[in-house]
Amino acid sequence: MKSYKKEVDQSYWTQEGKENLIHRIEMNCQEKHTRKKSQFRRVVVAVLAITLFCAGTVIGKGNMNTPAEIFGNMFGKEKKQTEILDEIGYAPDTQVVSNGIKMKVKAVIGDGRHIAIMYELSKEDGSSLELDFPIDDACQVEFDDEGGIRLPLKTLGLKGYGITYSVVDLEPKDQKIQIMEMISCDDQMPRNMKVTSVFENIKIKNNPKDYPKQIEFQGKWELEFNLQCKDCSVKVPAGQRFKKDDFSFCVEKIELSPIGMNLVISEMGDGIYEYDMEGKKYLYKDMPVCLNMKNGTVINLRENDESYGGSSEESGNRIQKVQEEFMFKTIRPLEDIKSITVGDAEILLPKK
Amino acid sequence: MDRKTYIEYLVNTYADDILHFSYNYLKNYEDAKDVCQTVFIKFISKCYSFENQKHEKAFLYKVTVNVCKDFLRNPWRKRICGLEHCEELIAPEPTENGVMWAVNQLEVKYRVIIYLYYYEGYNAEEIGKIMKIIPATVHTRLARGRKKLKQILEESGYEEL
Repeated sequence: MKSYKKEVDQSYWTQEGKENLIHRIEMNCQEKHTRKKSQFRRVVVAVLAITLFCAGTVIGKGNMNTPAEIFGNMFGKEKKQTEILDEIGYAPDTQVVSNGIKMKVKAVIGDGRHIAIMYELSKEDGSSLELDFPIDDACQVEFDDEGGIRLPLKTLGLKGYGITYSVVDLEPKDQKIQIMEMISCDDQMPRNMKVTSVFENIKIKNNPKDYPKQIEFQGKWELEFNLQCKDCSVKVPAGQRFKKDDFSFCVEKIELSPIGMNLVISEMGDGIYEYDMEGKKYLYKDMPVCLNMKNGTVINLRENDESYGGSSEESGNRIQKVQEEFMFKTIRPLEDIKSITVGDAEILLPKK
Repeated sequence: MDRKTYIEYLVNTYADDILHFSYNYLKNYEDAKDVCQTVFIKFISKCYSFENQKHEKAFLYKVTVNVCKDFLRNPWRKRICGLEHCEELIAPEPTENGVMWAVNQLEVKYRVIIYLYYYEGYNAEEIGKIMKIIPATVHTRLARGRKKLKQILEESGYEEL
Protein backbone atom coordinates (compact mmCIF):
# COMPACT_ATOMS: atom_id res chain seq x y z
CA MET A 1 0.00 0.00 0.00
CA LYS A 2 3.05 2.27 -0.06
CA SER A 3 2.40 3.13 -3.67
CA TYR A 4 -1.23 3.99 -2.81
CA LYS A 5 -0.06 6.55 -0.26
CA LYS A 6 2.43 7.91 -2.76
CA GLU A 7 -0.26 8.26 -5.42
CA VAL A 8 -2.70 9.97 -3.03
CA ASP A 9 0.01 12.41 -1.96
CA GLN A 10 0.55 13.49 -5.54
CA SER A 11 -2.54 15.67 -5.34
CA TYR A 12 -2.48 18.75 -3.15
CA TRP A 13 -3.49 22.39 -2.95
CA THR A 14 -0.99 24.83 -4.38
CA GLN A 15 0.10 27.67 -2.11
CA GLU A 16 -1.96 30.02 -4.29
CA GLY A 17 -4.91 27.66 -4.02
CA LYS A 18 -4.68 27.61 -0.23
CA GLU A 19 -4.47 31.39 -0.08
CA ASN A 20 -7.54 31.71 -2.31
CA LEU A 21 -9.36 29.15 -0.20
CA ILE A 22 -8.51 31.04 3.02
CA HIS A 23 -9.71 34.26 1.40
CA ARG A 24 -13.00 32.71 0.30
CA ILE A 25 -13.66 31.21 3.72
CA GLU A 26 -12.81 34.49 5.41
CA MET A 27 -15.12 36.43 3.10
CA ASN A 28 -17.80 33.94 3.87
CA CYS A 29 -17.37 34.39 7.63
CA GLN A 30 -17.41 38.18 7.35
CA GLU A 31 -20.63 38.06 5.34
CA LYS A 32 -22.14 35.81 7.95
CA HIS A 33 -21.78 38.47 10.60
CA THR A 34 -23.22 41.24 8.50
CA ARG A 35 -25.93 39.72 6.36
CA LYS A 36 -29.02 37.66 6.70
CA LYS A 37 -29.60 34.59 4.65
CA SER A 38 -28.64 34.95 1.03
CA GLN A 39 -31.55 35.49 -1.28
CA PHE A 40 -29.71 33.95 -4.19
CA ARG A 41 -30.50 30.50 -5.33
CA ARG A 42 -28.01 27.75 -5.68
CA VAL A 43 -27.13 26.76 -9.16
CA VAL A 44 -26.92 23.37 -10.81
CA VAL A 45 -30.04 22.12 -9.12
CA ALA A 46 -32.70 21.15 -11.54
CA VAL A 47 -36.02 20.69 -9.88
CA LEU A 48 -38.09 18.17 -11.68
CA ALA A 49 -41.75 18.74 -12.01
CA ILE A 50 -42.92 16.42 -14.68
CA THR A 51 -46.65 16.23 -14.60
CA LEU A 52 -47.36 12.90 -16.07
CA PHE A 53 -50.87 11.78 -15.63
CA CYS A 54 -51.47 9.26 -18.26
CA ALA A 55 -54.41 10.69 -20.05
CA GLY A 56 -54.30 11.52 -23.70
CA THR A 57 -54.43 9.76 -26.97
CA VAL A 58 -51.09 8.01 -27.02
CA ILE A 59 -51.62 6.23 -23.74
CA GLY A 60 -54.08 3.44 -23.96
CA LYS A 61 -53.15 2.37 -27.44
CA GLY A 62 -50.97 -0.38 -26.06
CA ASN A 63 -47.23 -0.43 -26.66
CA MET A 64 -45.50 2.87 -27.12
CA ASN A 65 -42.59 2.52 -29.42
CA THR A 66 -41.77 5.70 -31.28
CA PRO A 67 -39.86 8.52 -29.57
CA ALA A 68 -42.89 10.77 -30.03
CA GLU A 69 -45.15 8.27 -28.31
CA ILE A 70 -42.70 7.69 -25.48
CA PHE A 71 -41.65 11.28 -24.82
CA GLY A 72 -44.82 13.01 -26.07
CA ASN A 73 -46.41 13.29 -22.64
CA MET A 74 -43.40 15.15 -21.31
CA PHE A 75 -42.17 17.15 -24.28
CA GLY A 76 -45.38 17.88 -26.18
CA LYS A 77 -47.84 16.14 -28.41
CA GLU A 78 -48.61 18.76 -31.01
CA LYS A 79 -47.89 17.74 -34.58
CA LYS A 80 -44.78 19.90 -34.95
CA GLN A 81 -43.45 18.63 -31.64
CA THR A 82 -44.01 14.95 -32.37
CA GLU A 83 -42.35 15.37 -35.77
CA ILE A 84 -39.29 16.84 -34.06
CA LEU A 85 -39.27 14.11 -31.40
CA ASP A 86 -39.30 11.44 -34.08
CA GLU A 87 -36.62 13.30 -36.02
CA ILE A 88 -34.19 13.67 -33.11
CA GLY A 89 -35.10 10.38 -31.42
CA TYR A 90 -34.73 6.68 -31.91
CA ALA A 91 -35.29 3.47 -29.97
CA PRO A 92 -32.12 1.44 -29.31
CA ASP A 93 -32.96 -2.20 -28.92
CA THR A 94 -30.85 -2.82 -25.83
CA GLN A 95 -31.90 -4.66 -22.72
CA VAL A 96 -30.36 -6.60 -19.86
CA VAL A 97 -31.79 -8.71 -17.06
CA SER A 98 -30.65 -8.84 -13.45
CA ASN A 99 -32.45 -10.67 -10.65
CA GLY A 100 -35.46 -11.27 -12.91
CA ILE A 101 -35.88 -7.57 -13.69
CA LYS A 102 -35.44 -6.45 -17.25
CA MET A 103 -34.08 -3.01 -17.99
CA LYS A 104 -34.42 -1.66 -21.47
CA VAL A 105 -33.26 1.51 -23.20
CA LYS A 106 -36.68 2.40 -24.54
CA ALA A 107 -35.89 5.60 -26.42
CA VAL A 108 -33.41 8.41 -26.74
CA ILE A 109 -33.86 11.97 -27.94
CA GLY A 110 -31.17 14.59 -28.21
CA ASP A 111 -29.37 17.28 -30.14
CA GLY A 112 -25.80 16.48 -29.15
CA ARG A 113 -25.79 18.66 -26.03
CA HIS A 114 -29.17 17.93 -24.49
CA ILE A 115 -30.23 14.32 -24.28
CA ALA A 116 -33.12 12.46 -22.67
CA ILE A 117 -32.96 8.70 -22.26
CA MET A 118 -35.95 6.64 -21.21
CA TYR A 119 -35.14 3.35 -19.50
CA GLU A 120 -37.90 0.86 -18.78
CA LEU A 121 -38.08 -1.63 -15.92
CA SER A 122 -40.26 -4.72 -16.17
CA LYS A 123 -40.34 -8.30 -14.92
CA GLU A 124 -38.48 -10.74 -17.16
CA ASP A 125 -41.29 -13.30 -16.92
CA GLY A 126 -43.90 -10.77 -18.02
CA SER A 127 -45.65 -10.58 -14.66
CA SER A 128 -46.35 -7.26 -12.95
CA LEU A 129 -43.80 -5.26 -11.03
CA GLU A 130 -44.74 -5.06 -7.38
CA LEU A 131 -45.40 -1.39 -6.80
CA ASP A 132 -46.53 -0.41 -3.30
CA PHE A 133 -47.55 3.08 -4.28
CA PRO A 134 -48.48 4.94 -7.46
CA ILE A 135 -45.61 6.52 -9.35
CA ASP A 136 -46.16 10.24 -9.67
CA ASP A 137 -44.08 13.36 -10.13
CA ALA A 138 -43.21 13.54 -6.42
CA CYS A 139 -41.45 10.17 -6.44
CA GLN A 140 -37.68 10.11 -6.37
CA VAL A 141 -35.24 7.59 -7.74
CA GLU A 142 -31.81 6.74 -6.34
CA PHE A 143 -29.09 4.24 -7.21
CA ASP A 144 -26.07 2.86 -5.43
CA ASP A 145 -22.79 4.56 -6.21
CA GLU A 146 -22.91 6.79 -9.27
CA GLY A 147 -25.64 5.40 -11.49
CA GLY A 148 -26.50 6.24 -15.06
CA ILE A 149 -24.71 7.00 -18.27
CA ARG A 150 -20.93 7.02 -18.34
CA LEU A 151 -19.61 9.40 -20.93
CA PRO A 152 -15.90 9.04 -21.71
CA LEU A 153 -15.16 12.70 -21.10
CA LYS A 154 -11.41 12.58 -21.52
CA THR A 155 -11.52 10.49 -24.66
CA LEU A 156 -14.05 12.82 -26.19
CA GLY A 157 -12.33 15.96 -24.93
CA LEU A 158 -15.51 17.12 -23.21
CA LYS A 159 -15.42 19.38 -20.18
CA GLY A 160 -18.31 17.95 -18.24
CA TYR A 161 -21.98 17.16 -18.09
CA GLY A 162 -24.94 17.55 -15.76
CA ILE A 163 -27.39 14.79 -15.18
CA THR A 164 -30.71 14.31 -13.44
CA TYR A 165 -33.30 11.56 -13.10
CA SER A 166 -37.00 11.16 -12.65
CA VAL A 167 -39.22 8.16 -12.41
CA VAL A 168 -42.36 7.99 -14.51
CA ASP A 169 -45.13 5.56 -15.25
CA LEU A 170 -46.10 5.93 -18.89
CA GLU A 171 -48.86 3.33 -18.68
CA PRO A 172 -50.03 2.43 -15.14
CA LYS A 173 -51.92 -0.60 -16.43
CA ASP A 174 -48.87 -2.37 -17.84
CA GLN A 175 -47.05 -2.56 -14.46
CA LYS A 176 -43.81 -1.37 -16.00
CA ILE A 177 -42.11 1.80 -14.94
CA GLN A 178 -39.65 4.10 -16.60
CA ILE A 179 -36.66 6.09 -15.48
CA MET A 180 -35.90 9.21 -17.46
CA GLU A 181 -32.32 10.44 -17.50
CA MET A 182 -31.63 13.94 -18.72
CA ILE A 183 -28.14 14.98 -19.64
CA SER A 184 -26.77 18.32 -20.69
CA CYS A 185 -23.19 18.58 -21.89
CA ASP A 186 -20.83 21.51 -21.89
CA ASP A 187 -19.78 20.62 -25.44
CA GLN A 188 -21.30 19.03 -28.51
CA MET A 189 -20.94 15.27 -28.39
CA PRO A 190 -20.04 13.11 -31.39
CA ARG A 191 -22.98 12.21 -33.63
CA ASN A 192 -22.65 8.52 -32.91
CA MET A 193 -20.77 6.76 -30.16
CA LYS A 194 -20.97 3.69 -27.98
CA VAL A 195 -21.89 4.44 -24.37
CA THR A 196 -22.63 2.43 -21.23
CA SER A 197 -25.24 3.12 -18.59
CA VAL A 198 -24.87 1.36 -15.27
CA PHE A 199 -27.55 1.14 -12.61
CA GLU A 200 -27.17 -0.72 -9.34
CA ASN A 201 -29.88 -1.34 -6.74
CA ILE A 202 -32.58 1.02 -7.92
CA LYS A 203 -34.61 2.62 -5.12
CA ILE A 204 -37.82 4.50 -5.74
CA LYS A 205 -39.17 6.63 -2.93
CA ASN A 206 -42.71 7.87 -2.67
CA ASN A 207 -43.87 11.43 -2.11
CA PRO A 208 -41.87 12.66 0.91
CA LYS A 209 -45.04 14.19 2.35
CA ASP A 210 -46.64 10.74 2.71
CA TYR A 211 -45.68 7.92 5.05
CA PRO A 212 -42.23 6.97 3.71
CA LYS A 213 -42.22 3.96 1.43
CA GLN A 214 -39.58 2.59 -0.84
CA ILE A 215 -39.53 0.12 -3.70
CA GLU A 216 -36.16 -1.44 -4.27
CA PHE A 217 -34.98 -3.42 -7.29
CA GLN A 218 -31.78 -5.17 -6.36
CA GLY A 219 -29.33 -5.99 -9.09
CA LYS A 220 -26.91 -4.44 -11.48
CA TRP A 221 -27.79 -3.46 -15.02
CA GLU A 222 -25.14 -2.51 -17.55
CA LEU A 223 -26.55 -1.36 -20.85
CA GLU A 224 -24.28 -0.72 -23.79
CA PHE A 225 -25.84 1.12 -26.71
CA ASN A 226 -25.14 3.58 -29.47
CA LEU A 227 -25.86 7.18 -28.58
CA GLN A 228 -26.87 8.88 -31.78
CA CYS A 229 -27.51 12.58 -31.71
CA LYS A 230 -28.77 14.75 -34.46
CA ASP A 231 -27.40 18.27 -34.31
CA CYS A 232 -30.50 20.30 -34.98
CA SER A 233 -29.14 23.45 -33.36
CA VAL A 234 -28.56 26.84 -34.95
CA LYS A 235 -25.88 29.32 -34.01
CA VAL A 236 -27.51 32.58 -33.03
CA PRO A 237 -25.40 35.70 -33.78
CA ALA A 238 -23.62 36.72 -30.56
CA GLY A 239 -21.39 39.57 -29.38
CA GLN A 240 -24.16 41.75 -27.90
CA ARG A 241 -23.13 43.86 -24.90
CA PHE A 242 -25.35 45.20 -22.14
CA LYS A 243 -25.05 46.68 -18.66
CA LYS A 244 -26.72 45.53 -15.47
CA ASP A 245 -26.01 46.74 -11.92
CA ASP A 246 -22.80 48.47 -13.07
CA PHE A 247 -21.51 45.29 -14.66
CA SER A 248 -20.77 45.03 -18.40
CA PHE A 249 -21.86 41.73 -19.85
CA CYS A 250 -21.19 40.25 -23.25
CA VAL A 251 -23.16 37.45 -24.89
CA GLU A 252 -20.36 35.25 -26.19
CA LYS A 253 -22.29 32.38 -27.71
CA ILE A 254 -25.81 31.04 -28.19
CA GLU A 255 -26.70 27.71 -29.71
CA LEU A 256 -30.39 26.98 -29.91
CA SER A 257 -32.21 23.79 -30.82
CA PRO A 258 -35.82 22.69 -30.35
CA ILE A 259 -34.80 20.83 -27.19
CA GLY A 260 -32.35 23.19 -25.53
CA MET A 261 -30.11 26.19 -25.52
CA ASN A 262 -26.45 26.70 -24.75
CA LEU A 263 -25.54 30.19 -23.61
CA VAL A 264 -22.14 31.70 -22.75
CA ILE A 265 -21.96 35.11 -21.06
CA SER A 266 -18.86 36.94 -19.87
CA GLU A 267 -18.22 39.93 -17.60
CA MET A 268 -15.05 41.98 -17.17
CA GLY A 269 -14.93 41.67 -13.39
CA ASP A 270 -16.91 39.77 -10.82
CA GLY A 271 -20.40 40.19 -12.21
CA ILE A 272 -20.92 36.49 -12.80
CA TYR A 273 -20.28 35.18 -9.30
CA GLU A 274 -18.87 36.11 -5.93
CA TYR A 275 -18.70 34.56 -2.49
CA ASP A 276 -20.88 35.27 0.50
CA MET A 277 -21.89 33.47 3.68
CA GLU A 278 -23.72 30.76 1.79
CA GLY A 279 -20.72 30.04 -0.38
CA LYS A 280 -20.74 30.93 -4.03
CA LYS A 281 -23.34 33.50 -5.08
CA TYR A 282 -24.47 33.20 -8.67
CA LEU A 283 -25.26 36.75 -9.77
CA TYR A 284 -26.03 35.82 -13.36
CA LYS A 285 -29.02 33.80 -12.17
CA ASP A 286 -30.91 37.06 -11.71
CA MET A 287 -30.45 37.91 -15.36
CA PRO A 288 -33.49 37.07 -17.47
CA VAL A 289 -33.08 34.54 -20.25
CA CYS A 290 -36.25 34.28 -22.32
CA LEU A 291 -37.53 32.90 -25.57
CA ASN A 292 -39.81 35.38 -27.34
CA MET A 293 -42.24 33.40 -29.43
CA LYS A 294 -43.77 34.67 -32.66
CA ASN A 295 -47.25 34.42 -31.14
CA GLY A 296 -46.24 36.97 -28.48
CA THR A 297 -45.64 34.53 -25.63
CA VAL A 298 -42.51 35.07 -23.55
CA ILE A 299 -40.96 31.94 -22.06
CA ASN A 300 -38.72 32.58 -19.08
CA LEU A 301 -36.17 29.77 -19.19
CA ARG A 302 -35.13 30.43 -15.60
CA GLU A 303 -38.47 29.13 -14.38
CA ASN A 304 -38.40 25.53 -13.27
CA ASP A 305 -41.49 24.74 -15.28
CA GLU A 306 -39.73 25.68 -18.48
CA SER A 307 -36.31 24.09 -18.37
CA TYR A 308 -33.85 21.87 -16.58
CA GLY A 309 -30.42 23.31 -16.33
CA GLY A 310 -26.86 23.27 -15.30
CA SER A 311 -24.04 25.72 -15.54
CA SER A 312 -20.31 26.01 -15.10
CA GLU A 313 -18.29 29.09 -14.39
CA GLU A 314 -14.68 29.94 -15.01
CA SER A 315 -12.48 32.94 -14.55
CA GLY A 316 -9.15 34.13 -15.85
CA ASN A 317 -7.47 37.37 -16.92
CA ARG A 318 -10.02 39.27 -14.85
CA ILE A 319 -12.90 37.96 -16.95
CA GLN A 320 -15.60 35.75 -15.52
CA LYS A 321 -17.53 33.49 -17.84
CA VAL A 322 -20.53 31.29 -17.39
CA GLN A 323 -21.82 28.59 -19.66
CA GLU A 324 -25.44 27.70 -19.10
CA GLU A 325 -27.40 24.78 -20.46
CA PHE A 326 -31.17 24.98 -20.67
CA MET A 327 -32.91 21.76 -21.56
CA PHE A 328 -36.48 22.65 -22.48
CA LYS A 329 -39.35 20.82 -20.85
CA THR A 330 -41.37 21.30 -24.02
CA ILE A 331 -40.15 20.96 -27.58
CA ARG A 332 -39.88 24.45 -29.08
CA PRO A 333 -39.93 24.37 -32.88
CA LEU A 334 -37.35 26.92 -34.04
CA GLU A 335 -39.71 28.42 -36.60
CA ASP A 336 -41.98 29.49 -33.70
CA ILE A 337 -39.23 31.48 -31.96
CA LYS A 338 -38.75 35.14 -32.88
CA SER A 339 -35.90 36.17 -30.62
CA ILE A 340 -33.99 35.47 -27.41
CA THR A 341 -33.65 37.91 -24.53
CA VAL A 342 -30.49 37.76 -22.43
CA GLY A 343 -30.37 40.49 -19.78
CA ASP A 344 -31.18 43.67 -21.67
CA ALA A 345 -30.20 42.33 -25.06
CA GLU A 346 -32.77 41.01 -27.51
CA ILE A 347 -31.24 38.80 -30.15
CA LEU A 348 -33.17 37.95 -33.29
CA LEU A 349 -32.96 34.45 -34.64
CA PRO A 350 -31.24 34.14 -38.01
CA LYS A 351 -33.60 33.66 -40.93
CA LYS A 352 -33.29 30.34 -42.74
CA MET B 1 -6.17 32.69 18.07
CA ASP B 2 -8.15 35.16 15.95
CA ARG B 3 -10.47 33.90 13.25
CA LYS B 4 -8.12 34.59 10.35
CA THR B 5 -5.29 32.75 12.04
CA TYR B 6 -7.64 29.88 12.83
CA ILE B 7 -8.79 29.64 9.19
CA GLU B 8 -5.15 29.68 8.06
CA TYR B 9 -4.32 26.97 10.56
CA LEU B 10 -7.24 24.80 9.42
CA VAL B 11 -6.51 25.20 5.71
CA ASN B 12 -2.77 24.73 6.06
CA THR B 13 -3.20 21.70 8.32
CA TYR B 14 -6.15 19.89 6.78
CA ALA B 15 -6.92 21.17 3.25
CA ASP B 16 -4.90 18.44 1.55
CA ASP B 17 -6.40 15.73 3.75
CA ILE B 18 -9.95 16.90 3.05
CA LEU B 19 -9.10 17.10 -0.65
CA HIS B 20 -7.80 13.52 -0.68
CA PHE B 21 -10.74 12.20 1.31
CA SER B 22 -13.42 13.97 -0.70
CA TYR B 23 -11.73 12.99 -3.97
CA ASN B 24 -11.74 9.43 -2.73
CA TYR B 25 -15.47 9.77 -2.13
CA LEU B 26 -16.43 11.65 -5.31
CA LYS B 27 -13.71 10.63 -7.75
CA ASN B 28 -13.60 14.17 -9.12
CA TYR B 29 -11.10 16.84 -8.09
CA GLU B 30 -13.28 19.76 -9.13
CA ASP B 31 -16.10 18.52 -6.89
CA ALA B 32 -13.60 17.70 -4.13
CA LYS B 33 -12.35 21.28 -4.27
CA ASP B 34 -15.88 22.62 -3.73
CA VAL B 35 -16.40 20.14 -0.91
CA CYS B 36 -13.23 21.40 0.85
CA GLN B 37 -14.55 24.93 0.96
CA THR B 38 -17.99 23.86 2.17
CA VAL B 39 -16.49 21.65 4.88
CA PHE B 40 -14.37 24.48 6.31
CA ILE B 41 -17.25 26.95 6.15
CA LYS B 42 -19.56 24.54 7.97
CA PHE B 43 -16.85 23.77 10.50
CA ILE B 44 -16.01 27.39 11.25
CA SER B 45 -19.65 28.39 11.52
CA LYS B 46 -19.88 26.50 14.84
CA CYS B 47 -17.57 26.67 17.85
CA TYR B 48 -16.26 23.21 18.57
CA SER B 49 -13.69 22.18 21.14
CA PHE B 50 -11.46 19.18 20.71
CA GLU B 51 -9.27 17.09 22.95
CA ASN B 52 -6.47 17.03 20.41
CA GLN B 53 -5.63 17.39 16.73
CA LYS B 54 -6.53 13.78 15.96
CA HIS B 55 -9.99 14.36 17.37
CA GLU B 56 -10.32 17.58 15.36
CA LYS B 57 -9.31 15.84 12.14
CA ALA B 58 -11.71 12.94 12.72
CA PHE B 59 -14.53 15.45 13.22
CA LEU B 60 -13.59 17.24 10.00
CA TYR B 61 -13.81 13.90 8.21
CA LYS B 62 -17.30 13.38 9.65
CA VAL B 63 -18.34 16.75 8.23
CA THR B 64 -16.72 15.78 4.90
CA VAL B 65 -18.71 12.55 4.72
CA ASN B 66 -21.94 14.51 5.20
CA VAL B 67 -21.01 17.16 2.65
CA CYS B 68 -20.04 14.48 0.11
CA LYS B 69 -23.33 12.65 0.71
CA ASP B 70 -25.27 15.89 0.20
CA PHE B 71 -23.28 16.48 -2.93
CA LEU B 72 -24.16 13.08 -4.35
CA ARG B 73 -27.83 13.61 -3.47
CA ASN B 74 -27.93 16.77 -5.54
CA PRO B 75 -30.24 15.93 -8.44
CA TRP B 76 -28.16 17.86 -10.95
CA ARG B 77 -24.55 17.03 -10.45
CA LYS B 78 -21.82 18.33 -12.64
CA ARG B 79 -19.29 15.80 -13.72
CA ILE B 80 -16.25 17.75 -14.72
CA CYS B 81 -13.25 16.31 -16.43
CA GLY B 82 -9.61 17.13 -15.87
CA LEU B 83 -8.05 20.04 -14.08
CA GLU B 84 -6.06 21.63 -16.81
CA HIS B 85 -8.01 24.83 -16.30
CA CYS B 86 -7.49 24.86 -12.57
CA GLU B 87 -4.41 26.41 -11.02
CA GLU B 88 -5.40 25.90 -7.41
CA LEU B 89 -4.63 22.22 -7.26
CA ILE B 90 -1.92 19.86 -8.35
CA ALA B 91 -4.06 16.87 -9.11
CA PRO B 92 -2.86 14.30 -11.62
CA GLU B 93 -5.50 11.79 -12.65
CA PRO B 94 -4.60 8.31 -11.37
CA THR B 95 -2.64 6.30 -13.89
CA GLU B 96 -4.41 3.25 -15.21
CA ASN B 97 -3.30 0.03 -13.51
CA GLY B 98 -2.05 1.96 -10.45
CA VAL B 99 -3.39 1.26 -6.96
CA MET B 100 -5.30 4.53 -6.76
CA TRP B 101 -6.93 3.81 -10.10
CA ALA B 102 -7.88 0.36 -8.81
CA VAL B 103 -9.29 1.83 -5.56
CA ASN B 104 -11.38 4.21 -7.68
CA GLN B 105 -12.95 1.20 -9.39
CA LEU B 106 -14.43 0.08 -6.06
CA GLU B 107 -17.83 1.14 -4.80
CA VAL B 108 -17.76 4.19 -2.57
CA LYS B 109 -18.48 2.16 0.59
CA TYR B 110 -15.30 0.14 0.06
CA ARG B 111 -12.97 2.82 -1.22
CA VAL B 112 -13.71 5.20 1.66
CA ILE B 113 -12.91 2.51 4.22
CA ILE B 114 -9.76 1.52 2.38
CA TYR B 115 -8.64 5.14 2.28
CA LEU B 116 -9.25 5.71 5.97
CA TYR B 117 -7.59 2.45 6.96
CA TYR B 118 -4.57 2.37 4.69
CA TYR B 119 -3.89 6.01 4.01
CA GLU B 120 -4.96 7.60 7.27
CA GLY B 121 -4.16 4.65 9.50
CA TYR B 122 -7.43 4.75 11.42
CA ASN B 123 -8.60 1.55 13.11
CA ALA B 124 -12.03 -0.02 12.64
CA GLU B 125 -13.51 1.67 15.69
CA GLU B 126 -12.32 5.11 14.59
CA ILE B 127 -13.57 4.55 11.04
CA GLY B 128 -16.90 3.41 12.46
CA LYS B 129 -17.26 6.70 14.33
CA ILE B 130 -16.45 8.76 11.25
CA MET B 131 -18.73 6.79 8.96
CA LYS B 132 -21.42 6.17 11.59
CA ILE B 133 -21.29 2.39 11.17
CA ILE B 134 -20.39 -0.36 13.60
CA PRO B 135 -16.78 -1.69 13.67
CA ALA B 136 -17.94 -5.13 12.46
CA THR B 137 -19.27 -3.52 9.28
CA VAL B 138 -15.94 -1.74 8.84
CA HIS B 139 -14.14 -5.09 9.05
CA THR B 140 -16.54 -6.69 6.57
CA ARG B 141 -16.20 -3.84 4.10
CA LEU B 142 -12.46 -3.80 4.52
CA ALA B 143 -12.21 -7.52 3.81
CA ARG B 144 -14.55 -7.35 0.81
CA GLY B 145 -12.90 -4.20 -0.49
CA ARG B 146 -9.45 -5.80 -0.21
CA LYS B 147 -10.66 -8.88 -2.04
CA LYS B 148 -12.18 -6.83 -4.84
CA LEU B 149 -9.10 -4.64 -5.01
CA LYS B 150 -6.85 -7.66 -5.31
CA GLN B 151 -8.99 -8.99 -8.12
CA ILE B 152 -8.91 -5.65 -9.98
CA LEU B 153 -5.16 -5.35 -9.55
CA GLU B 154 -4.57 -8.90 -10.71
CA GLU B 155 -6.74 -8.40 -13.76
CA SER B 156 -4.90 -5.20 -14.60
CA GLY B 157 -1.54 -6.98 -14.40
CA TYR B 158 -0.33 -5.07 -11.36
CA GLU B 159 2.78 -6.75 -9.97
CA GLU B 160 3.45 -5.27 -6.53
CA LEU B 161 0.84 -7.25 -4.58
